Amino acid sequence: MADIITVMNLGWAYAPASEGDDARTALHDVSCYVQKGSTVGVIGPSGSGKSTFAKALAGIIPHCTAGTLTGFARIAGMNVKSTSVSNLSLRVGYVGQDPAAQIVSETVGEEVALPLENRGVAPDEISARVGDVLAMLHIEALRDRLISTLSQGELERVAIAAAVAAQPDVLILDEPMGALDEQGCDDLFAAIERMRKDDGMTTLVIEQHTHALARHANTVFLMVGGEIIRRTSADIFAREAALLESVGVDVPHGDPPMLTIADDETGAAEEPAVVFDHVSHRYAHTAPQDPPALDDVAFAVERGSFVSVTGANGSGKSTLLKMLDAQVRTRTGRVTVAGVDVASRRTQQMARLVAYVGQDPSRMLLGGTVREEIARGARAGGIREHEVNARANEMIRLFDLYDVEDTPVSRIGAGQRRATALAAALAARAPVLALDEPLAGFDVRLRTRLLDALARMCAEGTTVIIASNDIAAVNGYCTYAARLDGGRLVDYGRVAVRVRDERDGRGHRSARQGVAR
Amino acid sequence: MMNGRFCTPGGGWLHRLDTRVKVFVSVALIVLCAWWSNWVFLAAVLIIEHILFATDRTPAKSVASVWGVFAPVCVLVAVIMLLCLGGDGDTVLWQAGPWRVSARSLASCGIVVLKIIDIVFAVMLTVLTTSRRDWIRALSAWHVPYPSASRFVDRLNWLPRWRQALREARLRQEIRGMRATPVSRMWTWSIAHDLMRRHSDNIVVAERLRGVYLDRGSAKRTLMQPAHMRPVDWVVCIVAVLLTAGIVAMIVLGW
Repeated sequence: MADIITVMNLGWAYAPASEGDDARTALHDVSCYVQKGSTVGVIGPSGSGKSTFAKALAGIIPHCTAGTLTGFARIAGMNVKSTSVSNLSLRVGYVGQDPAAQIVSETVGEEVALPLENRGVAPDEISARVGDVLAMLHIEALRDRLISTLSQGELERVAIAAAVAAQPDVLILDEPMGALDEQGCDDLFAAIERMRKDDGMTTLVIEQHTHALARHANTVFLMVGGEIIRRTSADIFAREAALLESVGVDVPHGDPPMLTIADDETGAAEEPAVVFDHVSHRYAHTAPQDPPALDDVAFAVERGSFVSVTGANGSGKSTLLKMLDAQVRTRTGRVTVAGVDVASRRTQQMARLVAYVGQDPSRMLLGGTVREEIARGARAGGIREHEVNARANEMIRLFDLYDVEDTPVSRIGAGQRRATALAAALAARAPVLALDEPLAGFDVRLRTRLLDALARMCAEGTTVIIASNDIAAVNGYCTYAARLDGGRLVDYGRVAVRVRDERDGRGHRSARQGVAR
Repeated sequence: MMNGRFCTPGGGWLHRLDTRVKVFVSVALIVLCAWWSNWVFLAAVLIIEHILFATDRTPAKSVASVWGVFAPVCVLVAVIMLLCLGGDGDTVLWQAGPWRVSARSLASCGIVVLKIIDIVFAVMLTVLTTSRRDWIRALSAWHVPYPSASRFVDRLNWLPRWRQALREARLRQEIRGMRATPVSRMWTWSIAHDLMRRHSDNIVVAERLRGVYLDRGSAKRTLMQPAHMRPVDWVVCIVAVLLTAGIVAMIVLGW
């Protein structure tokens, strides 16, 4: 079968962040060939050049990014260097790590229709195709919704829908599963499989969560240090597990883990750090027939607990976390943090009690260099300058940010921005940490380091609440879990794996080994 | 950033009215209000504009926010005019030293203020009730290329986007525990400026990825729902033309 992607000795160096800085080489001598109709998984540790590679294939590099491109890349018969991004988009669909940055229109239907309108497709056909694509990804109900009212997971699905609506020959997805729930991932791969069979579409999926790739990819590229060091099949996960683990790639073992929550008393907490007392919330934009974002949620979190909030996209996880520091104010019920009624405080006042990091880390950053950003987080606790520096150093070490510590946050990659935002939150050492999807986009090493650090903080008395659908991490680290469904709390209690471990006399460490792999 | 716009979503008759008709009505009102200094006419226009908003069920909050911005401007203009016009006219209503307010200067002042407010709400009649999609549809019907239409809508909504950027910047600072001080306020502006720049950059890249600048050859860009004049749009258009003609006749005949 013919190659649809040919890459030969491709190199890319980002232009220096400022005068006097060196150019940063992100791709080095990359060569690969992809056959038409393949599903390719691109794996590798954080910062290995996966996203840069995807951008180079979509034409964002070199056409929209400053830097130097060497070598050759051809995709769907077009030379990336000499073809504009729009002309490449005729046959290449691309969804980046930040779907919100890729949205142009005001409503979902308009966004999905936009690529078809640009291609001059007849109006009736556009309308029909938009309906088909939305149905394929099970988001028909979102068709008339304003983009600004969508959750991150819903945004991801819309961005994917817009990319596949024009029936591209090649679809490139950069970390799509970070924001998607289990159903969303299944829908995505079902759609990919359908388009592969019907139209021979080729798909490149860059992903840290390798479970799905092990099942669906027929080719796997392993990238390390800006190079593709393995071009092989999906059996690499079984054949070269040791190599993958050594470079920090998650190796899937058996079926995806399941989360079982023990049936505990939701209101029982001897020393509650956080209490949700029959909290309900409905956004102004929510249609009357739709369920509220939160509906009579009631549970108490013991001080020093490590709690995970799980649930499908749009189930209310982010709203729940935003209530902890008064970003979203409850109309019904009461939220208490460390004995303080959140309703009586402003967000700025709550920052002393709650360190919050949202799903989009860029939205947490204030500017300056990575070190300044982290130090600012530490200073929020009102501590001395030498302690600020000590905490900043500790966080830079934890998140491996040595290379970029003096680089402005506006010039670093998405993974490093996420790490910086988390580092700043952890450096604040607030009594409660609220982290929305903190593990998305991290390789297994960074994920394990972060989870270890959070577990240590819990042991010292910090209460950690994360919104995450990473069940392996929840089973391995979290002491409690809450499950939301359509805004309702359907489960809250101890994570069953932990209950079993405690009963069997096994420590925290042994439970964690599954994740650390 | 994405919800920074003048238009409030809605399904009222003004929202559904064809954008080209709304633009005609707005332009006609602007020209007539600027031309005819008849206070009865100007007051009637102001009332009619508010009736139109009310019957469209445009949120009162949106209309109030327009008043919130322009009422102080009008007060400022009125005060400056009263100070500058002095006691022009015979009937002096109020005098303090050299400053006199006559009935004539007060009437002139009222007319100018009414004109300003009328013109602002004439513009808002279209701006508050027209979504991005409707603007693109109308401009496409006038053969404006999509990139230019898109830029126009972005420029049109610059002010609400800037306000949204400021809010987001402030929220970031609050989440990070920063107190509202003069220095932090300045920083807020810097973050907001950065947000606006990033938003513009993202939009350009996103448009390219969606094929906005596609080389289509002779093929034309299409729209899922092209602009279409319904019978009710034609009726409103004809009524607006007749009323405009009638008022022009009244002005020309000196009524």
